[in-house]
Amino acid sequence: MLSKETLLAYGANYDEGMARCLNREAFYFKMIKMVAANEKFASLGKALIAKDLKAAFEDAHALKGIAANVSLTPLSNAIEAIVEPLRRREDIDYTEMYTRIVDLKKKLDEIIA
Amino acid sequence: MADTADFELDENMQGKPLVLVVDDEEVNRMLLTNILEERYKVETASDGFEALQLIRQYRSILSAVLLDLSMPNMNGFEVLKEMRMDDMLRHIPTLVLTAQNDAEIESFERGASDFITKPFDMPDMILARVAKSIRMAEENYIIRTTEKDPLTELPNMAYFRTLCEAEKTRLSAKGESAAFIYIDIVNMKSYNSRFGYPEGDRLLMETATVLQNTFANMPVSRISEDHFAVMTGAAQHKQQLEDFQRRLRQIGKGNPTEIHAGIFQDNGEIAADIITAMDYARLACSTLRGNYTDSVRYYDQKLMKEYDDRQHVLANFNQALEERWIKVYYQPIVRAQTGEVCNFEALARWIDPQRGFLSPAAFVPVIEDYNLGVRMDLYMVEEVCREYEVRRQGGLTPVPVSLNFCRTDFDQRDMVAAVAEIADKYHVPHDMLIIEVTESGFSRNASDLQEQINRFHELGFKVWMDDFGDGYASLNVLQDMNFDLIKLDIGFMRNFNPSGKNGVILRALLSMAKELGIHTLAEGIETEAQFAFLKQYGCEKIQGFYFGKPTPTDELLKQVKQGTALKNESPETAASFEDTLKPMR
Repeated sequence: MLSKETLLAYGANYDEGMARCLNREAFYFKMIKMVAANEKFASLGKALIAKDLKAAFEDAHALKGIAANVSLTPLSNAIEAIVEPLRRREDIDYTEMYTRIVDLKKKLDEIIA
Repeated sequence: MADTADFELDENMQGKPLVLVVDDEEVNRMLLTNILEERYKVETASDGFEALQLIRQYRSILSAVLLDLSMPNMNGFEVLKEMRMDDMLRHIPTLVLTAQNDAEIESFERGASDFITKPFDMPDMILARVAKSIRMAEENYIIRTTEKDPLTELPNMAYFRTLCEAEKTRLSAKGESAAFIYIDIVNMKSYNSRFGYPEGDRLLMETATVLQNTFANMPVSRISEDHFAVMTGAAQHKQQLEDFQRRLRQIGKGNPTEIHAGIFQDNGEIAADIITAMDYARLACSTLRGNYTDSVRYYDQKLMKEYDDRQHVLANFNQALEERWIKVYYQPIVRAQTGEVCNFEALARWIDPQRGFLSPAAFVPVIEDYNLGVRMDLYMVEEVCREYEVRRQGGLTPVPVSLNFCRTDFDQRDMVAAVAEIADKYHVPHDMLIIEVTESGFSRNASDLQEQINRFHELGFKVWMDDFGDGYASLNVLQDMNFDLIKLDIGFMRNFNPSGKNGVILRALLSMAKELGIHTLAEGIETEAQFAFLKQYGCEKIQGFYFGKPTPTDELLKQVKQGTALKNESPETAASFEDTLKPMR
C-alpha cells in the first residue's frame, strides 16, 4: 500500500516528491501510480530484445525523467544506468541493467497494490 | 493586446495569464499543471503539432510556453523554429524543459527565453522562472512598441539618439568621426497615389531593410513618413550611401526609387550634438526639394550661414515689425518722355540692429515659407501710408507708390478691404497706391484674380501686373484681366540685345500693350542704350539703377533739401499721360 513509510522503505525521496506536488499526498500517489503504469517499461524491454537501441533510448530517457520527477530515486538511478550507454548506442548486453529496472518496477507495483 | 485570434478559452480564466505546457509524458504535464495552476490558466499539449496548433489559436493571450524537447513526431526544437519564423509567435516567451546542458545552449540560440531542468526544480523556482520570462517579454513588448517605428521596426528618433551616442563614443575611441545622413524618398506622395498606400508602406519597409543591410550595425531610424536617418563613420559614408542608392533603385514599382540625402559630417568644424547634427542633415536635405539633378547636399559653412539667417529672421520677425527694423526703400520710376519721377516702388529692407543690412533674398523667402507674407505686406502698406505725409511735407510732390503682394496674401486676408482701411486711416488718396501682383500670385483661379482687380479699381486703386514674361504670365492674362500696366520682367533687360530676338520680342510686347490700352514699364534699366531703345519703342515708364536705386525716405528728403533729387511729376502731367490710353474692355 502506498504510504510515506512504504515509499521511504523503497528508497524514494518522499519529502522531495511531496514538495514537487505541493505537499498534496493524494496527488503525489496518483503520479507514482501513473509512473508505474507507464507502458514504456514494457516497450523498453521489447526494444532491447529487438536491439532497437534508438527506441530503447527514447523509452529509457522518458522513464528516467518521470521516475526522477516523482523522486523514485532507486528506480530513476537504475534507469539512468541504462540511459547513458543507450544514448551512445553501445551494443552491449543490457540484460542485467534491464532486470534491475524490472525488479524495482515490480517492487513498486507491490507497494501500490 | 488581444486581436482577432480565434481562441475559445473563456471559462474560469479569472484574469489569469494563460500558459501552455507541452510534454509527451502525462505525468510531467500533470506535475507542471499542478504547480502552475495557482497562478495561471494552464493548457496542455502532448506533441509538437498539437502545441503549434494551440500556440497559433491562443497567440494573442498566451503568456508563455513550457516546451519539452524530446517528443515524438515534432520535437521541441522544431516547434521553436516554427515560432521564430512567425511574426505573431516569435515574441511569446518559451521555457524549454530539458535534462541536458548542451540542449540548453542550443535552446537559447534558437530563441528560448529560459529553461526548466529535469527532474523538475522545486515549484517556487519553476514559478519564478516562468514569471521572469513573462515579465521580460512584456518589457520587451513595451520597448518594441515605444522605441520602434511600428511599420518598419526601425528605432524611433529617441531610441536612435541613444544608439547614436553610443556609436559616436565608439567611433571617437577609434579616432574616427561620424557622418549623419537624413534621407527623403523622392516623390513618395505620387508613389502612394499611383500604387496605393499598402504598396507605399511596402516600399517604406523595403527601404528600411535595404538601409539596415547597407549600413550594417550602424544606427538607423525612420523619423517620419518617408524620412529616414542614419549615423555612420565619416570615412565610409560616401561609399555606403552610393551602395544604398544603387540597391534602392532596384526596389519598388514603376520608376527607380530615388532619394535626397542631406549630410552633416561631425569633423569638429561645426560643433553639434546628436539632435543638432541630425537637424543640420535634415536642413541640407530640405534644400534639395524640387531638385531633380542633385541627390546629395552637405551641411557646410555656407548653408550654416543661411540656416542661421533663417532662424534669426523667424525669431525676430515680430520685433522687426514692431521696432521698424524693416524699412521702406523707394525706387524711382521715371516717365521715359519727361525724365520725371512718376512713381516709386516700395521695397522692404531689413536693417538689423545686430547684423546690419539683410538682403531681401535672406528674409523674403523665409517669410513667405512661413506664411508671414501677409503681415509684412500690410506692414509695408501701413509704412508707405504713414510716410505719405512725411514725404509730402518734406517737399516731395506726391506720386503713386506701388507695393508688392505675395501669393498667399489673398488666401489669408481680404486684401482690398485691408488696403483701403489703412489708406483711409492715414488719409492717403487711393490713387496714390498701386498694387503689384503676379499671375502666379493667385493660387486659386483667374476669375478670382479678376474679381480682386475689379474691387481695387472700384475703390480707386490701380493694379499692375509684375514680372510679365518671366515664364508664369501668359498672353491670355492680357486678354482676360484688366491690369492698368504691365511691368516687363527684369530678365528682358538682363538679356538685352536690341538687334536680336530679345529686341523683336520687346518691340512686339510694347506695341501690343499699347494697342490693348495697357501702360508699360520696364525694370532693371542700367544703361543709356537700354533706356534709349525702350523710349524709342514706346515704353512709358522706366525703373532701374540708371535713374535711381531704392532709397529710404530720410535720404530722399535729404536729396530734396540738397537739390539733388529727381523731380517728381505734377498731378497734371501725370493725368495727361495716364489718359492717353483707353483700355480695351
